[in-house]
Amino acid sequence: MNIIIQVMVFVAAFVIGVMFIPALAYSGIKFKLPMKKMLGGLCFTLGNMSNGGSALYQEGNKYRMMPLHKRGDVWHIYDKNLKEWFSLMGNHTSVIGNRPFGILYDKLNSEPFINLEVKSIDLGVTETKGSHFLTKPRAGIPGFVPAHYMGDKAKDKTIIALDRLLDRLHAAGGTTQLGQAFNKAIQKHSVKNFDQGYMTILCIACLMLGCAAGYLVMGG
Amino acid sequence: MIVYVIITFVLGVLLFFVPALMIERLDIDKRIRIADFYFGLATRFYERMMFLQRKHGSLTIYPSEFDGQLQSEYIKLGKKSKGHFEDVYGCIGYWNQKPVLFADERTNCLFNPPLADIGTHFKDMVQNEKYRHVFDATSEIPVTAYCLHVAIDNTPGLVNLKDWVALVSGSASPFLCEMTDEFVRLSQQKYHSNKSIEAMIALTFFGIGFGAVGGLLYLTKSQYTQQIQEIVPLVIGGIL
Repeated sequence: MNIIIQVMVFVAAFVIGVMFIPALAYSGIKFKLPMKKMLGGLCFTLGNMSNGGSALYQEGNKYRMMPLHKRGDVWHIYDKNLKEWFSLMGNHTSVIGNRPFGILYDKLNSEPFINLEVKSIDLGVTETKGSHFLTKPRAGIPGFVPAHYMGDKAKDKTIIALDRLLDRLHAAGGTTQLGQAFNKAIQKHSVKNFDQGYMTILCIACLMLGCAAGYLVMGG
Repeated sequence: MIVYVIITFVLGVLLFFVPALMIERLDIDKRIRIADFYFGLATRFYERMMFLQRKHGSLTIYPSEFDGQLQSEYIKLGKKSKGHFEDVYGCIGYWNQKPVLFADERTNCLFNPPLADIGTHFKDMVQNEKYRHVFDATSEIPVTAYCLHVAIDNTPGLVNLKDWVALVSGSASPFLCEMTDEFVRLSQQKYHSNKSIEAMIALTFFGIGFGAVGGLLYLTKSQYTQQIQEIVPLVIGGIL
């Protein structure tokens, strides 16, 4: 009887051990920041390790994670719905938990670009200049559209009208905020070196050194 | 007995890690299921998840919080220090119903990966001699003109976060591409000027210490010795 109880205790301890981290995740306990960072980071790293490398894929305003793998010089992602690997452009990856990590997005349906490229836009192309098309001057400066962005050559590309994209950002207050953010960031950097603790230690240390030097010099 | 129970418990916890370590042997669909389970747990722990691009270009994940008063996103870096990041249009996306944000330590800004990608494309365009066109529209005055459009290949591509540039309005150019470089330059300038101020403060304190002790010793050895020996205990007593 005793043995059965002992075995049950061990089995229970083992099961509780396995379920410990998932139970913490689903318990709804509000962890303090270091604990949150440690447990969340651990699970994320394990996920990335399981995938062997991951890509965070943005569709609209939703993200999903896909396995990321390098074959030869080309990165590939695996779509679990289509059960197929797809090659990617570019080579820009980072590393999280010793596994590659990349970010990509759906170029046709990404939120900032919706309706920007499907609208028919009158560019006011007036004449050609070399292999490019001149557009109406804006603020006194003539713009141009490279020839390989127009017609059949643009079929496999998403064309973003920069001024329209900028208008959208302006309307949302994005660019103004960003400009302010830059200024604030520069200010923050300028005071960063005057960290209170560091300056206190520096001042006390210099004061003590000064005292010691004064004592030695004056032959106390 | 209790020791063995604890050991069994620890073995159970360790078993939680095993699938991630043994994954090479499994087929891709099983791996994805296991990975999704782990990622699901990670998003359960984080209320808001921030991918922070560090100054040297590496990527780190932080649990992030929103400061309603300052209207900015922040992460806690230490017990008292916080890193604040200003909001920019369209930053938030969702993963497992939890907000996901991207921030850059160099600029203290949140950013949107697609916009970062456009910024990088644009920067490449105007910096690449192939696309930088200085031409004469009126046959008299040469003008630098930038493209009105950016083309991105429709094949999915990995976003270049390391070299992302900000989308900032300007009068002549719609995008101020040199912003990041300018920011780095200004930061360094400020850093170096701070270093000289720091040196001045250090020297001042050194001087105060030197002057105080040196002066006191000088006076104790001089004609004022008697008076000082009487005054100092009185001063100290008064202070206490």
